[in-house]
Amino acid sequence: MKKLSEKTKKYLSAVISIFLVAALISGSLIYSQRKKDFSHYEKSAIAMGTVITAKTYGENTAPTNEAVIKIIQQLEDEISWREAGSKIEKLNSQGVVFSNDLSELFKICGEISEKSEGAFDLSVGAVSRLWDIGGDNQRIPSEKEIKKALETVDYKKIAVSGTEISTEKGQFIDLGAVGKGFACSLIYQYLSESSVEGAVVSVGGSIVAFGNRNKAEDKWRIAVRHPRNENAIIGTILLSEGFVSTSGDYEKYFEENGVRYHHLLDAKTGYPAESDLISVTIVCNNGLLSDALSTACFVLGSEKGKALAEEYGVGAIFVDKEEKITTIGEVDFQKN
Amino acid sequence: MIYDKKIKKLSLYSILGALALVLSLFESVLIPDLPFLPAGAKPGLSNIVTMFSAFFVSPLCAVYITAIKVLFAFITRGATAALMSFFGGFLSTAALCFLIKLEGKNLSFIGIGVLCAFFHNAGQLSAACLISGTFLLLNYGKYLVIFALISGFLTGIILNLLKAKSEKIFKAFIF
Amino acid sequence: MIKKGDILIISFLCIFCALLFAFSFIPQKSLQAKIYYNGEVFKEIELSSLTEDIFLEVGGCTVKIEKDGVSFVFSTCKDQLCVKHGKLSKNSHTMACVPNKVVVCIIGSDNENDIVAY
Repeated sequence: MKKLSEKTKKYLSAVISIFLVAALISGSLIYSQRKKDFSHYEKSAIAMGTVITAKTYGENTAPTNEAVIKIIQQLEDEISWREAGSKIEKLNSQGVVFSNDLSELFKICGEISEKSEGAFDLSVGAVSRLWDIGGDNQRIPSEKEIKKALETVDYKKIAVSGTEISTEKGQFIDLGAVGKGFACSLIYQYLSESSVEGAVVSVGGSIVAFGNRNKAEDKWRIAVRHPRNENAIIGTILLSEGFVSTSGDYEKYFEENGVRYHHLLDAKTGYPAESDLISVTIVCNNGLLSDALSTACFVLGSEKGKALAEEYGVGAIFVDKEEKITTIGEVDFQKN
Repeated sequence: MIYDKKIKKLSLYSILGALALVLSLFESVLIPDLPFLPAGAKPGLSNIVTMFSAFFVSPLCAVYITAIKVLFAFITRGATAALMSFFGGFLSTAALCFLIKLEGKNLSFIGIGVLCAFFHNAGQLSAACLISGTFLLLNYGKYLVIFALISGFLTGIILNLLKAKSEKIFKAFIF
Repeated sequence: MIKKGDILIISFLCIFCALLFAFSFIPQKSLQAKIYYNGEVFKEIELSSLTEDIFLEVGGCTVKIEKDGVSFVFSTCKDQLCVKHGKLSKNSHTMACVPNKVVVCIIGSDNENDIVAY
């Protein structure tokens, strides 16, 4: 080996010392900033007829998980048409009810009904009751039955005036298509008033993301289940705060003679929507909106659904029958 | 005149720096991410320029070029990228400066290139582990070593050829 | 073109590489199964340390717990969606028998996702 000249030694020591000093400084800076998650508590329970999973981050957040589940249970008592004394049960039996929260809900849903030209309609309950998909009496109703029930399906007959909500005789409201998203909105409100640093809650698959997991700015990773394989995902949404809802033909359905009858009914035909999509995911900053739009866009299909999503300025992920994935609007989605 | 020499030096260093940047931009656009490797792992074609400078100009020139690369990474891609470039680049250039004087009968650019590529990857991987706060990333290490062997070998061969075919021409042209 | 020193360096790196493959650096992260019944934690089981499969009776369901996952093998519910789900793998995080109020979660896997939307 050649002997190293003085000049080389100078270069060598200069480079190495600069490197070491800089490395030490930057290393300690980074180490102090490194992403260490807050401690977190996780809890799962059954409410609203589905699985609720709450993951909260911060100091002693276990009670927050309990509170979140309680909020959902209370909401169920208020909006489930099956619960005697609930606001919706009253609306269906008496044709009128007063509620601050719900009048806002009906207004927003009414707007979506209009923009989707009736494909999305909360009064479709009269028809979905016949199908009872996912329930104990699921069956294919006769054409006559469906036609009769369809006569009551008309979002225009749902009137909202101040806190008064009224429907026409015979109309049947079912908030199943928006309940979970609405719950997410309420949970977000609760979380922002609580002491948790961050949380991500799943209400039967509808997600609300709040705050962050650690001091450094971080995004939540929300995986999207594969419509045809329960144990796989199609990709991950990166979101700092917001709501994610999915509607798909795989959630609730039954098959007869090789035909799949899923629970997303087209309010105009009374039959499961014949959409070219098998899954729609909506990402936006309003829980109710994300849930309602996911149903609306599914029923409308890829073309009109895309237009609706763009009109509301939300992010969306569509999966069509060939399992091709399309993203619409602003959504940070990493395909698998 | 001294000014002439200084201007000549400045222009030369700048051109070499720009060349290094172009090469790294080129490979980031044209070369897709490979499986097994972390996102963004590239063959390091700009290493050709650093090795060239260390031999044909001076080791200090190579250090300047590395600094330019870090600055460029900071301006265009942000702090994280700059830090990775810094750790990888300076570790690799330090090794380069040390080895370049040994180039000759027993050591060609192939060995130098391979070691430089290795240190560059090692530096970047350590930076990544530090930033993400986990040692899990070190799993990529074994694949990166293979990758470094290949890319270092290729860049080394190119430099060996440059030296063999045109050492005299370059030396005359530069100063 | 290749010199002695090159061969030395290359062979050294190859040995180093072989060593890396031999000792794959995987920090042991324990996998846990958490089973909830009626909103309360029923049982927590460490999966990676299991030597044999465990069968758990809870809320009218029989849950099978293995080293690599959990599955419902029997349930009194009508829709049998829980049984149809199959073995819970890390990507799914959670599965449940809703009518019987049993929820199963997998915690601690190196899954980088926080939650699953469906």
